[in-house]
Amino acid sequence: MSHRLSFLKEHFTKVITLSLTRGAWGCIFLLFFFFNLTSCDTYNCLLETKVQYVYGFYNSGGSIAIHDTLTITALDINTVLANRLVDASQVKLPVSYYNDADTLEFLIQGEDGEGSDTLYIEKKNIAHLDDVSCPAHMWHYITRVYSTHHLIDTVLISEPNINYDGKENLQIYFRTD
Amino acid sequence: MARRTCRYISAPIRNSLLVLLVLLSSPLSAQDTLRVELGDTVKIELPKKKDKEMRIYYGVAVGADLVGLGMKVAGVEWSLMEVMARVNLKDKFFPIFEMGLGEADHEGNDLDYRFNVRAPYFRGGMDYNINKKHNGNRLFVGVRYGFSVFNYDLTSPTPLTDPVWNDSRPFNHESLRGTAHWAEIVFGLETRLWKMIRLGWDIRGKFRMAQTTGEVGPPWLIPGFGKNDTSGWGGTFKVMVEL
Repeated sequence: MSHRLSFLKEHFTKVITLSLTRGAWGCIFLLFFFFNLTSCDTYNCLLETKVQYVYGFYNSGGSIAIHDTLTITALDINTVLANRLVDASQVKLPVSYYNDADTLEFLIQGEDGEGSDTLYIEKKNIAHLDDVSCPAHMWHYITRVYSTHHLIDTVLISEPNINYDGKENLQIYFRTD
Repeated sequence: MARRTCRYISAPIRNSLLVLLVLLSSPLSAQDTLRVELGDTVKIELPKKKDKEMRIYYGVAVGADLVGLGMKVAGVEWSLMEVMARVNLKDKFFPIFEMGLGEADHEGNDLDYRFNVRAPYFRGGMDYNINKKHNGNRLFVGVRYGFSVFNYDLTSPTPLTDPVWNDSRPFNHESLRGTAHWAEIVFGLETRLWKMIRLGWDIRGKFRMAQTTGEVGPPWLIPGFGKNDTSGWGGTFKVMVEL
């Protein structure tokens, strides 16, 4: 038994010696095993990971800024998402993680009075995890959007994917009459 | 007294004898004798070194990688356990097929997210022995193409909470479908350990060519490739039996 063990030991030594005498490759091989078994994960999580609706405001002449105060409320939770914005040409709002649709009220108040419209956004919700060492987020895909038309003329989907890109998702065209 | 046979004969006689041998090949093989008359010249082909080199098939070998097994035993959170079979052609070309099982149970550093996979993978390719001496030691360079089709899980015991709508749902995404294709370049060394048993190692540069992942997120590990990235390193330490 001991003879067999010494025999095996001799041949393993031969392999290791042969590996090392082949120079750099042998060393690289041994280093590979060392690092491979002991290496840590070094995934760098993205710093900018806000997932928001991005609305742009337009009329028939192009992009506009709303000079009156704009207040946006999530109706299903009765929570104000944007309060009394002035001179806004674009606004970023949170997206519900799990609702199939968000219902938002756009209230515009000015010296001449006030008006409001309700916006309905239907969407698909997709959980997203870049790496197990990073926080998860919800991404969304807008499938349909429609509104009342007191102030709003039309709403277009310019980018249905709501993710880390931060592109403008919806273009809200206000009436000019 | 019969003339002694000669190894070297003139070309016309040699050619005519070759034709004669072809014509007589069937009865010759049946009887396994050739009648030689006095005065005939017979060419006897002696085995030459070149004929030995013309031998193509040198056998097959099967083996297993010990690295994956070692990682599994050591409790490392991932392992690639594989077996392989290869053909030896002229002791230079070694078409090889490798298949294995990739496993991982990995938890994120600071968060509770967990990745799980357990799926087979396959590789095919060729090694080339660059050692000119047939002394039992082989130095290999080679290439591989690998692929895997697998399901993986991304889960967390902590639910994902919407901070505005204040709504929570469990983060359990199981059986996400993934596929991956990659190429490898191989450098290895192998020696005879005992009779038919050989021992060797190789290191591999791996290059991911394509992958599809579940919509929730990419897999942390691709079975057969290793940790998911555009490229990576790998290696085997294998025992093979030549049949």
